[in-house]
Amino acid sequence: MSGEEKKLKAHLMRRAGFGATSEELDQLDQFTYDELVDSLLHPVDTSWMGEHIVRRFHHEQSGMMSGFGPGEYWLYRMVTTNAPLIEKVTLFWHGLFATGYPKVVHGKVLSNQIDMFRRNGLGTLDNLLVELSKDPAMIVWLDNQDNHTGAINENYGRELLELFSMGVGNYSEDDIKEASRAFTGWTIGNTEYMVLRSDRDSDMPYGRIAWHFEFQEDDHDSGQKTFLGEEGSFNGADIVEIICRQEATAKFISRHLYSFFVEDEIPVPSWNDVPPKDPEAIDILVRSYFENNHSITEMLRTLFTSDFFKDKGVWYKRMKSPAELVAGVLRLSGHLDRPRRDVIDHAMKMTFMGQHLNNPPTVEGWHEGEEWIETGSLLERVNFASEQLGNDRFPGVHQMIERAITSVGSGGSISDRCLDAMGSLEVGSDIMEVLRSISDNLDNGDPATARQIIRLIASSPEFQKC
Amino acid sequence: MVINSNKGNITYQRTIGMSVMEGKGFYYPADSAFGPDGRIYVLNRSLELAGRGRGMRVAVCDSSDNYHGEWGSFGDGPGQFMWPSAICVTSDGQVIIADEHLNKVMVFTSGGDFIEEWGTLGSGEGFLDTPSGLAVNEKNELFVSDTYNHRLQVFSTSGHFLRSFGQNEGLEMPWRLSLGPDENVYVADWGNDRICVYTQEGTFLRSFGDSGSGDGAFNKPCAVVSSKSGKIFVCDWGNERVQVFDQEGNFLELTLGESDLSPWAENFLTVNVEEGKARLNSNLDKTNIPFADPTDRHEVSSHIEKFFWSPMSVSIGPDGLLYVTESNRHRIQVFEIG
Repeated sequence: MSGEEKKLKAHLMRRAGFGATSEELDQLDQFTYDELVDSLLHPVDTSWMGEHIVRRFHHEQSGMMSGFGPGEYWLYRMVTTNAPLIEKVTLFWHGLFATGYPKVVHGKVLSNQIDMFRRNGLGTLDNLLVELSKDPAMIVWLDNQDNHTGAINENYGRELLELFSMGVGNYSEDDIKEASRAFTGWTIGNTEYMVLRSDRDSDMPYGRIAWHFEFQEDDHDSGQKTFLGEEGSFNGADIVEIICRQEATAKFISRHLYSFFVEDEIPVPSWNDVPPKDPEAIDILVRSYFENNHSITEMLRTLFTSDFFKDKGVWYKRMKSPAELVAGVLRLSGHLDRPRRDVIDHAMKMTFMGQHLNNPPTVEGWHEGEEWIETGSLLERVNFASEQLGNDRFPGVHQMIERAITSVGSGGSISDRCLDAMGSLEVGSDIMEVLRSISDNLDNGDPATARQIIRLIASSPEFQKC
Repeated sequence: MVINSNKGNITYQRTIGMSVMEGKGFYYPADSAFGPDGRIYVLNRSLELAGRGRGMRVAVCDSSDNYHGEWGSFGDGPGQFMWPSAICVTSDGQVIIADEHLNKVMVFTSGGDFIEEWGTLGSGEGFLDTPSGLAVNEKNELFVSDTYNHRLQVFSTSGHFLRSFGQNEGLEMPWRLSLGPDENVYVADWGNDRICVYTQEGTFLRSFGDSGSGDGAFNKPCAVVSSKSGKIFVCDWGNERVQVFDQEGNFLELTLGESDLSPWAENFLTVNVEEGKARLNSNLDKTNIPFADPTDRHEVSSHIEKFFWSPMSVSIGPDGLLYVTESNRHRIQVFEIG
């Protein structure tokens, strides 16, 4: 594999996953780039550390009563999965369909929603939106249990259109009302008891009871409706089907995918005023959406194999979210090789960096990109990465150091070899100059030198991005 | 859905406990053991993070629902816990607790006064890596499941190494163990989906069990106990059930659990009128739920409250009843066992 091809695959693995170690990149030599994309989209091996072993040692990640267990459990999956794109896409949908603990007050149902994204996140948008509409955590998050025939609650209908599919300006207030009518009767079983327990944060007498979707036909408004110019006795699934046929939906989802996988866009509220960074790329994704029956898998294949994705101009142009940063560092360090109590501190670090999984600040999710960076969070990010990757007791760090010092004589400086060992990374010429000025005065065959260089790379601006 | 299958000798009797972090109840109970005074010592794992170990304690009660108090605290100091994993009581009433994060074994009086602790992380003889099961015999020899060393070790209660065994049979992350009325050691060989039986000196006698979810098969069994009548009760943790076998390992019957309200739970719902009323209007036994995977027993049990959810420990009380401690439901279901 040529150096350039390896770097392109490393770029893909940073975007479609959480980065790849140099050993993993070596193993990818057997695949062409397009085969690698296909293997990410259709992974044969979806194994990870495993839920049994995690549940054995982390009892709260089994019962999931609090708001912390789901994020800790998910972190294990992100760090140890052999199918990283599934977790990455799950993270994408969690950001878009943000649902949070403070109102739901039930870790298990939030984790079940994440499982639903895992199962459906690479399917068609139509199917995903129907499943989302039936998701118990979403129902309670947006009050659809209070959406009754003759007395609608518009919360879910509004957000489905505004935040989840079409974006502001592409529908009317009447469309919101009609969509809401179509979702009447979509609720959870034992509504009164379950919602009361959430309101009171009650886990008595026997812990949380998981929620399930229930369609209450006698509370469903089956009357005629007019939605986006179409007429019929629509139910929720019909509304989703109409939404997914809209050009606005294709554009909205395409821009979200571009922003998450290619290059940070401005926050969504400004999308009506500011055009996309790469309108041509959005057009390509929109075409893929319609040509492939709204398949997210095929949109991502289009995206990952496009020139606009491979262009070096977009490399290191996305700020890693705290989840991406922490998971990526832990994959490199190899620290979570088995269940460890430290996972709760790692998940807490994400929170300090501004992202508490399953607990977004609002229904709009997190503001991403440069907004992840502020004085306090930057310090957390740099400290976390450099402390983890500076600890040579961790197997992954030990392996990187060994690789960097045993390849002395194979060409390049110790800094080049450390960058390669960390997953074929690149830094700017200014950072490279700093690394060289330090390594020139040290023994380049000494593990301590490699460890110091790795820590410095982990502290670089480029490492904060992907 | 079959709740009890076959011979019908295991009969639900009652439930003890409810979920609270402090006072009358349990929070993620990991294990429980009877003392010579008949009291039940319930080891609560609680939350790892919230309040940094609040609710991590030993709750002491009895089979008549009397609550006798609690003791123990979170931390890494002497006599403190971080991942309390197993508990047993000696014939003279000393309470022994293992911690699988701190890799230590702690000894307390029955009132919770700390006596001593020992244990060092390692793989050599006498070292521990994640102790997760305890049993003690009349001679005060302490049997420890040494999880990541894939073996059992025997110590004096003061930590003097006596012997180890289990490696030859390829134990894979053994969890709980117990001493039967026949004085043999019964081990839940968690990673191999089987039960192994040894003499106390470490001679392998037999094993039984295969991987699966059918009658007699196991999915990560975590605990086992043998009764005076010769039956073997296995916490089939991954299948969220308790299975019953004869001494040769032939399947007899199983239960998925049938909990109703404990007296403590009834009291809570009586006092909290609104919740009690809403609960009465609910159907918590509904089985026609649209599960993503109806064969996923963990998911099914998370929805149906009466079922076992993470049954983590089994023991036979001085009254001859079977006590099943459920971590995720914070309670103990009690069964007559025929």
